[in-house]
Amino acid sequence: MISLTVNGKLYNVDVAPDMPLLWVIRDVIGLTGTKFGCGLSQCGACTVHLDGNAVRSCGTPASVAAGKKVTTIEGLSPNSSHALQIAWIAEQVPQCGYCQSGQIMSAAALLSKTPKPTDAQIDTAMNGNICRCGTYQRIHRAIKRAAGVQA
Amino acid sequence: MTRWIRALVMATCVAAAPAIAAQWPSYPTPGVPRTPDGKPNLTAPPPRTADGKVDFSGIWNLRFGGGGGRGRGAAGAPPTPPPAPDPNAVPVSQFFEVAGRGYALPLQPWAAELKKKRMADNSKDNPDVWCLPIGLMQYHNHPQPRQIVQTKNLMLITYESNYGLRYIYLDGRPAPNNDPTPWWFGYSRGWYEGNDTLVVETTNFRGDERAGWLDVNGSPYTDALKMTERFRRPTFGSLEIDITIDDPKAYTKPFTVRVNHQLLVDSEMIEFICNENERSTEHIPKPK
Repeated sequence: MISLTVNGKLYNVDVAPDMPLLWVIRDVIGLTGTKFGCGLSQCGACTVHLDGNAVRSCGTPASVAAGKKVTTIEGLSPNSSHALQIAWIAEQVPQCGYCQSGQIMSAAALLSKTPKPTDAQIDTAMNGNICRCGTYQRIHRAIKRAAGVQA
Repeated sequence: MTRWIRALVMATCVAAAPAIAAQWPSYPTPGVPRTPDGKPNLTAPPPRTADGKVDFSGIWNLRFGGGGGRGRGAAGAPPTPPPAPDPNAVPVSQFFEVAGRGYALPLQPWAAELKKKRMADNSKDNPDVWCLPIGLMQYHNHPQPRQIVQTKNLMLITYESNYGLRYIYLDGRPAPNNDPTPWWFGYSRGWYEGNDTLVVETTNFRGDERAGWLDVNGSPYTDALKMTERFRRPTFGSLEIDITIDDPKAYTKPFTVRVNHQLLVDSEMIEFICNENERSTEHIPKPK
């Protein structure tokens, strides 16, 4: 049995310690906003926060999250009012949308530590999140909009 | 279904469950020097061919940025930030900007206009968007890994992203001078300088609007591009490639950037079939 807090709610889950956190989030707890992309930490679609840090939940064993605070896209704000979510809509960022929850979670981790990032800092932070449709320009603009930085 | 068959199926499912949960099998990479505790010794000297040249074979991952590592438990590490910009150093190339932010590319006026237009168009014509080969610089900088397979007369680089495959001929052949067909990957020939540096020269690029993208922001290249790469492997686990872009049609002078890769051990390449169930491009205006 592993205890972990997801989006502020305590869960006791009866899973193998090495089950990927993504499976716990999606299949056991039922929060499907976090996506399975490559399944091996390469594309960023499964990004969540673990104690405020962006991690790839598909490559993170559930045991690593025990006793920690997990935040998924559903928990980023209570009513989709996070500055990034607002900016994402304003910039009409998504196309197919599959990678976007991971993109937003990586961006949120960046802004929590670097509220006014430079272009280079955005490039570095977002370099591990792949978008197959190629919406990178809009992602970049939305992060700057959310940060209140001149685009 | 008889009771014993049901039991057999149940037993098979139970037996298979741990393997399913394990998700990613562990295949130790052979030939990797290891410390006494079994960890890869990535600072060991690089491997060499029978004639003493550095062998560049291996699976390579982007060193700065990227996904934080492939495989179970490897994802927790945050991306390694690139070193602070040094105006006297070779600029570190990036996926979004071929020479990184802050380096003014010597763009010809028309090329600067084209890049501006590409960005204003949200990079919709980037070959990556269309599941096409993304060009050598985007391949160099893509977060998905690439595998180098080196033989005596030929080096292959397989790129996981968009299933790229590149041939680099090491047999001393000259560059083609009458080839009417431009190549998405260019035509690459390599030779050693000393034992440690592999120089690769690539020409005959298809450098048109469809293919000529050096980065996500659309820094262009043309069919006049001559790309010279200098591969070095300072340690077993590190790869440095200095790349000179010499394209007088698009740039007023040549410029050089550096790509840093790190070895990915105990892992393997996976399939990435971009066109499988591809539903994105039908919503995008087609490139002209």
